[in-house]
Amino acid sequence: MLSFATRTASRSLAAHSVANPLTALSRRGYHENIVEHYENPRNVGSLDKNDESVGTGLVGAPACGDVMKLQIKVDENGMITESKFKTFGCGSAIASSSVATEWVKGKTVDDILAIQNADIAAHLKLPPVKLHCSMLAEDAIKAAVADWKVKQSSKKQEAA
Amino acid sequence: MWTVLRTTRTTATRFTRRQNQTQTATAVGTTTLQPDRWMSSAAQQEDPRDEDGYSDSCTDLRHSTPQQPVNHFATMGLTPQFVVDEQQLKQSYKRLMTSLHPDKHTLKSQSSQDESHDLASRVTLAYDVLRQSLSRASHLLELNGRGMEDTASGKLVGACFLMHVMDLREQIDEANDDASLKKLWDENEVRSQQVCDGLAEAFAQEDFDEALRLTGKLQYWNRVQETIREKIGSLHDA
Repeated sequence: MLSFATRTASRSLAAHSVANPLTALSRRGYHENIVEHYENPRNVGSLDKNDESVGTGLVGAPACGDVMKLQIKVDENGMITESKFKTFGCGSAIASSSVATEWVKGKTVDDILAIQNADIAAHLKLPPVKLHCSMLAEDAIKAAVADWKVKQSSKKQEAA
Repeated sequence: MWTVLRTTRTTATRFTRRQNQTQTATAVGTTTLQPDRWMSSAAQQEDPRDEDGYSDSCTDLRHSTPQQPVNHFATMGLTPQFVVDEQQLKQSYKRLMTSLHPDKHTLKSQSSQDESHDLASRVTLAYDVLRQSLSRASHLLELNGRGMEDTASGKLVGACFLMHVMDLREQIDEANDDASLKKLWDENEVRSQQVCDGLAEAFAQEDFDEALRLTGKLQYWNRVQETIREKIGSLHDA
């Protein structure tokens, strides 16, 4: 039932966005932070997933069938220098991943593991029915870090 | 407040009772359902309950809680299984709706009319859920206590699968003509059918882990299909 609501919301959101996204969203009671990130998503795109300094996190929501990819580029000090995302999903999922890429930049790998979905949800003032979108973003960060760590350990093994 | 509570209890009781009756009917192989009979028996049980308080409904509630999902298969008089004969489902729906039509109940009491109205909306809901493979699979999982969690992320279907979905969504995004979208649509139909075949087998073998995984996959393919449909629509609008 929830998944149906999500899909309906995402569909109508998409439909409205063509005509006048801002009014449609505001009328639906979404916070301006979501609208802002949905309208002007930051860091959309891809990094080379075969680059060993790049970690790729790929997650999806089986309840609604949406997918999110979040990538981080990590320098030799373990600092995130760049982050990109690509999300095929509703406005809240896009806004959540956009915020996530903003937040991870300039932080260390360990720091970004501490980012909680509740922080993202609070920042965007996500309605309860959309909380799973921020969970996706948190999972995507964690998956990206895990991927980067696997690459680092295999690099060490090769060197040894 | 009490009125509200009582109404809820009564509704819950009706649900349980009618479900039991339908299940019995299915068990003995009776294919012809008689909603009139259910209603009259439910109506008979309604009066004493109103008089002597809640003891009866409390007992029934104990059996139906916690939040036992409504069995849509029972509502339609069908055996709960993934493979459904569409014709049979449609016929059940038509037969039930014909007998529940408001015009047939104008001379009956208000409570009986409410009852048939209530039943008609449950039949409509059941029909909607059962006629589509994705919602039918989700419902079967739910009935077996294995509902899809909203919080599950990528673990259910695996990274490779998600990569495939991501790739397809990108292809749809980039496709700008009917021919390539049609091709993506046809390929997606094949994938969906394969998943449905797998679901039929998984449910037949009561392998609910596999059924859950495949239902997750079907959700992604359904979403891909919706996206293609939206894209085709937007191409024609432009």
